Amino acid sequence: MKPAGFDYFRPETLDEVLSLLDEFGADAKILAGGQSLVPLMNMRLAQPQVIIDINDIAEAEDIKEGYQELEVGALVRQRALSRYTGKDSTWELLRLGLGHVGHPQTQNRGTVGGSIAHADPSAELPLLFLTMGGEAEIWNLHGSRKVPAEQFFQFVFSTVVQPHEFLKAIHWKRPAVQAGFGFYEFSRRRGDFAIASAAAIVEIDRQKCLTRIRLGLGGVASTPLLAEGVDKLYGTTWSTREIEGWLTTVRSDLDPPEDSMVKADFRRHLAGLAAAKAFSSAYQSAFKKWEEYPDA
Amino acid sequence: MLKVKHDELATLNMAVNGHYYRRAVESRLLLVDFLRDELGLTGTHVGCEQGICGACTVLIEGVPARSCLHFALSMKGKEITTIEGLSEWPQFPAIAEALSRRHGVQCGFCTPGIVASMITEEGVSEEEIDVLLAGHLCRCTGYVGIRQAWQDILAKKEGK
Ligand code: FES
Ligand code: FES
Repeated sequence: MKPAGFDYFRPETLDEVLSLLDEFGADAKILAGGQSLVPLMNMRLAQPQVIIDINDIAEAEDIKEGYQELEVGALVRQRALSRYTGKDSTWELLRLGLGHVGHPQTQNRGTVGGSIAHADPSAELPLLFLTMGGEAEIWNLHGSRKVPAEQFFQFVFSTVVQPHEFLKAIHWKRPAVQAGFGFYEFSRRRGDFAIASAAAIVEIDRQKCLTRIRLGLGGVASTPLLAEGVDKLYGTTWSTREIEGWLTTVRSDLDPPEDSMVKADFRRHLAGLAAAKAFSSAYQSAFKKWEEYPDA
Repeated sequence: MLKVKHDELATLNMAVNGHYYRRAVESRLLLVDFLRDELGLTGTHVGCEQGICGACTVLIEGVPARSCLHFALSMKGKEITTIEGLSEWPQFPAIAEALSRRHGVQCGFCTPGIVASMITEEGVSEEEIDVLLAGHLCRCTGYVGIRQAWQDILAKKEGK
């Protein structure tokens, strides 16, 4: 099918973007890479009256690495971030997760910010943002605000970004040097959205006691989720019984969506497996880092 | 700032395969339809129109991308390369020969897109071939011949 008609604007500055959003609000959609929006428009599931094409906004194009965070502008392509993170084990979780986002041919155009703003609950980038933590930098005509990842996602396809606002950048929080990472996903084919996915960050101390755990789950609710109840594992070393016990609680607390292909129980089961796999790879990667650099 | 109303035509300048074109287009016209219907470059195929099948893959500024997921107007001033242009590239004869020898082409519907990925992704590993091929649906060959053709080309490059 072909998209319905729309008024097209191609602003050249951030101010122009913000004025257009102020004027058109909910009638307008931002077009960055278009890899989520244009399929919806082609199928006429989305029929925005106004398209604001931000591909000329130079302010949104950069990746800037700071001491505490990695700032990724709204126009940074997924492939560019994937290449950037390939160099550095600090951002390994991003690289692992990006390996499951669409295909190289869609990553060449699809943006990091676009996928996060689209907020598909089974997409990888929203899950990564929630798991790694950090802040979304959101602008409107009158100023800007930063919203933590934990408060960003509201519902299926819905975030705290209001119709007159613009997600200008994602600030990814820098993980601890010794943190280990894991990512696991069940999908029908490579590049598909996940049936269930999990991302994990595990930190352990010199005695191999768990000190910090972040476990995110995708595809199992209207937004990505962070697993709760982790703190009771802190201060203990690896115990398969304890960890399995915790993961069983995490799994049984889920109330996943059901469709004609995947029953809720099956999705819950896969989410539990994905969580266990992501968590144990993260633990192993943290363990290996301590073995390799015991003095770090 | 470029502004085009939904019922207006806008002038689009675009370089396709090294030629400059100027056409009046609607904002909602997809790049793939522009290439096929306005320029007559029917080597670019259109399958799913939702970014899944890869038949419409062309190069946007030298990088493989889905032409069904871009509006022609938003490609204003950009350089596009389709299979008609790729067939003039020096690397093309070797790719065509390898695909033919390995039976990597049957109906040929997927082929223009696959060639766009093959010709630009230099220095890939065997594993990456599969990742890149996953971005293209082929209903005929079962992929094995295409993968072998790609491997042959890499092997040749490395002088094996
Ligand atoms: S037609 Fe563009 S990906 Fe299928
Ligand atoms: S050769 Fe027929 S689809 Fe690939």
